[in-house]
Amino acid sequence: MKKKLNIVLMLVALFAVFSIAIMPSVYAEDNAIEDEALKAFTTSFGAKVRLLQLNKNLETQIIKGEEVINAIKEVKPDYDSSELELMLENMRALADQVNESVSTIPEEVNQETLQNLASDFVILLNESRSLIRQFSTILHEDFTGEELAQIRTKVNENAQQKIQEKIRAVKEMITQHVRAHNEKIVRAMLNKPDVRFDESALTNKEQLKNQLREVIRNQAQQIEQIQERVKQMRTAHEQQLNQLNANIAERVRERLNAVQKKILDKLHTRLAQSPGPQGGAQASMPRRK
Amino acid sequence: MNRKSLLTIALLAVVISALFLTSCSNNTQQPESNEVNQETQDSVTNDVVDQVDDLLLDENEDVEIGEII
Repeated sequence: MKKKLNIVLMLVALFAVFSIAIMPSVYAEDNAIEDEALKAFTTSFGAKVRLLQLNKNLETQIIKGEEVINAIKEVKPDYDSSELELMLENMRALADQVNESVSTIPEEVNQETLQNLASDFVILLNESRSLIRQFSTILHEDFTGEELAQIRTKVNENAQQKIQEKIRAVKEMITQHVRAHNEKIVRAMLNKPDVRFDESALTNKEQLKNQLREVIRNQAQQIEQIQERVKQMRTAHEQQLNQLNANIAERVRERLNAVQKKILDKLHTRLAQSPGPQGGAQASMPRRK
Repeated sequence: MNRKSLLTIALLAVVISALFLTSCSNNTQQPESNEVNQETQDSVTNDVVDQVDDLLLDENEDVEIGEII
């Protein structure tokens, strides 16, 4: 009996060691993919841009999901779409959580806050991708190619207008924060707090770089000071990113439970408020094997 | 005109020609030098601007999450 217990304890310990060992490498892979996105987490505006982009894409998929369920009622009326509807509720809870993260970002942020925001972003992004993948997998498993084509046609007919209306405000906010972020960078670079650029150039990197070239040519005598400032800005930026990458696996682990708890709380609240086909049902996602 | 005067005139002519040729040569070299300066300045400017590329955002960049259908 004791021998068996020892074996079980050893297996549990091995599993724990394996989980702890594998976790950072899983996040390291994600980090490699997200490096480009995480570069924005060096200012509060950049952080807002990335979270709003996530929100915009999530809202788009939610609207498409709603239209998919409407289309299913016509294409395959006897199909039980409760699993898909629960996934949609999860997506809505995620979108709420993203919104909440954006609304709490102050204009001036310290390194600690930026690291927390970047970790939250990685968690919310992975959750979103996972839900969308699961939704898509169910559709491809339960519907024929012909049925999917019919559903897709109906979604394309009905969703576009709703998507445009829903994300218009978010797109404007993204534009506004991209402009604020870029303005902050170029003003620091030129050491000219009042320097003005075209509104359109401030949201288009290539246009902005062309205007910057013109401004620098006109300040040729100050080129050495500009070079020095750019060097300092780059060093600070790289230090921030290195710190972010070094700590992100640890921070993601720390914040995963807190973020997931918030999402589940929101999901419970939503399900309690809107009793649908599975109203008041358990919030946990029914997983297919 | 004695021989000494002729020699002086010849010498003066040589000096004037040399000065004229030098000035012509400077005139033709000046634009080249300006061009080189301009090219150097453009190259430094491009280098500086390229270094801030990473720090800037573009509104057309996006976060990929996939498609449900």
